[in-house]
Amino acid sequence: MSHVKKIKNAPEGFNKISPVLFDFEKKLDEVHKEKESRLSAKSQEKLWKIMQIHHERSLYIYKLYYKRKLISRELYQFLIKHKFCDKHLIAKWRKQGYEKLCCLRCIQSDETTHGKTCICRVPRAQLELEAEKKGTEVTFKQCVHCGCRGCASTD
Amino acid sequence: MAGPWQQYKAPNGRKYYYNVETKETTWTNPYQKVNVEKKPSFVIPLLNDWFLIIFDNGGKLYLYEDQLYTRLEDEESLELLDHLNKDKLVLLIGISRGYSSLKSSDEVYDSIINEIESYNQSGIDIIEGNEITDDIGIDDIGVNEPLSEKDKESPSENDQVETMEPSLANALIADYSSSDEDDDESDDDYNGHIDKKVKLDEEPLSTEIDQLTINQYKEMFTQHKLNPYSLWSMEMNKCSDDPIFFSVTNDQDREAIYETWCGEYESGKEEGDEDNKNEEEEELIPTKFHYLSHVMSKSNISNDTIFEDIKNENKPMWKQFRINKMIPDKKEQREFVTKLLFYYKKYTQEERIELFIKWVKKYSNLDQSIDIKTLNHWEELHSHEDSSQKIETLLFLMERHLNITEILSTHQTSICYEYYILGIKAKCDTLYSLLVTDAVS
Repeated sequence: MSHVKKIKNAPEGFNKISPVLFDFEKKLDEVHKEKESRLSAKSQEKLWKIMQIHHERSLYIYKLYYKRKLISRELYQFLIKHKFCDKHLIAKWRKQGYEKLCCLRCIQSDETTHGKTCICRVPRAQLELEAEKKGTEVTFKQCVHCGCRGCASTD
Repeated sequence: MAGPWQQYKAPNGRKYYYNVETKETTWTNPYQKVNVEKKPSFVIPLLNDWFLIIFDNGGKLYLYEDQLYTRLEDEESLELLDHLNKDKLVLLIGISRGYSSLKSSDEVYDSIINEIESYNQSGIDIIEGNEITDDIGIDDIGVNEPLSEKDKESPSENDQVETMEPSLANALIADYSSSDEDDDESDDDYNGHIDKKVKLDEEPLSTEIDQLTINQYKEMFTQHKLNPYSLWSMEMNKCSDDPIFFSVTNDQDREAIYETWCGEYESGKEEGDEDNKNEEEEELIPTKFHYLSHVMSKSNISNDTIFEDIKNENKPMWKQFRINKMIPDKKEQREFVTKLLFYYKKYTQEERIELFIKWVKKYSNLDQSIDIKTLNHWEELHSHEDSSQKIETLLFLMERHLNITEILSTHQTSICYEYYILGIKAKCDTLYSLLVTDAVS
């Protein structure tokens, strides 16, 4: 049974956004049914897809409330309560420099060895410049935490 | 280094160039003759160490002993080019510009290389069929005009176009025209093709989208009834058939426009409502000193009254009419009251009425006569209100009719004191009688 369809007593306006939420749910379902790769290098990829869809859904709700201003505060809080979006991530997006942040783990500096953030937070231009100095190509493709390809605000 | 461009080193060690005169900076060497922006996509070996290089913007240059030339100066290579299949060369140029063809680029390139090899093997004997080149020479004249148009578009390519383009351009016609294969195609048709090409050239250049396209885009959204509660990735399918959809080439820009449109979707409605309300309110806005003069007319004025007396005496009224809000500047309040006190102390009620009439006749447009009917209509309209309110609205209506509201807001306050020397009721009565006599006469 769908999580979206189960919801009752939702505030006004929920029926307008429920088709989109339902769509996201379907996407998540599809990823869930996929088989996980046995290669250790690719084992994270399923998780990355889930993170990506969750990120998109949070972004959708964030834009609805803060940018388009189409939903009420009541409905926004209702959506947070029912975990349709990540409120901590949205709180970060509102800060300057974090507009495109991919996930919270990528800015968790005390989990890394050098006390720095994830490589996906480094602007692409800077990576390219550093690679040019060394005379190599940019090797970074996707980060291990969430499969982000770069989420600096300038990208 | 000679010239306005000076070479410097950036902190990261990279060289950059600075123009002393225009204060421009650039990473690329401006003295380098060949445009660095284009990248070579195909190299075709010709005869005698000459190479034909096709760039990704569709331009081409010739390479000989590590030097780039815009002209092919080797006769044997020129003849070789004339014998090559022009369609294939044009296709190759098209592919390097981004044209997606059924054949892969490698296939086309290989076939050209094969052709060159077979030509080399068979020797120079074939060249004797010189009539072919003559034919092309005749065609040149017909093609000249549209070519010059193209030259305007890309002045940097001027020279290289001259050497090879006439024959290639001919082939272009055959390539672009789908139905007609007549060699005597009219110039108009040809221009049409060129125009299309030019448009294609311009599109990627327009990085900034002007307001007109944005508005057009938003209209398109409304037309196709896009759902503002949805996602761009889902909604874009609804309008992707529209030709306007492609007026913005970057999908990020498209999404940004969609987001703003969604934001305006709801606020657009609200704004409309607010506008209406404002209009209704605007109908009867009291002039700046309207209530202060009213307060003055109600207060007792003796010969030694000053601003503070009036303010203290009428504190409840001060609050009721929000005089501090109407005239936020305390100095202005004081100045106005002092000036009016002068009139109140010096003149009697009758004299003040005379002064008032004089002022109205001088400044307002009394000539614009009014029907008694409209006056009566005004009175009827507001008959259901209480007497004081009725008088006020009537006064506002008359003020608006006589253009006094505008005069008071635009002129300096020093002129306007005489308008305020009467109370609301007296003012209304005088104006009314003035208008009535005017209407009757």
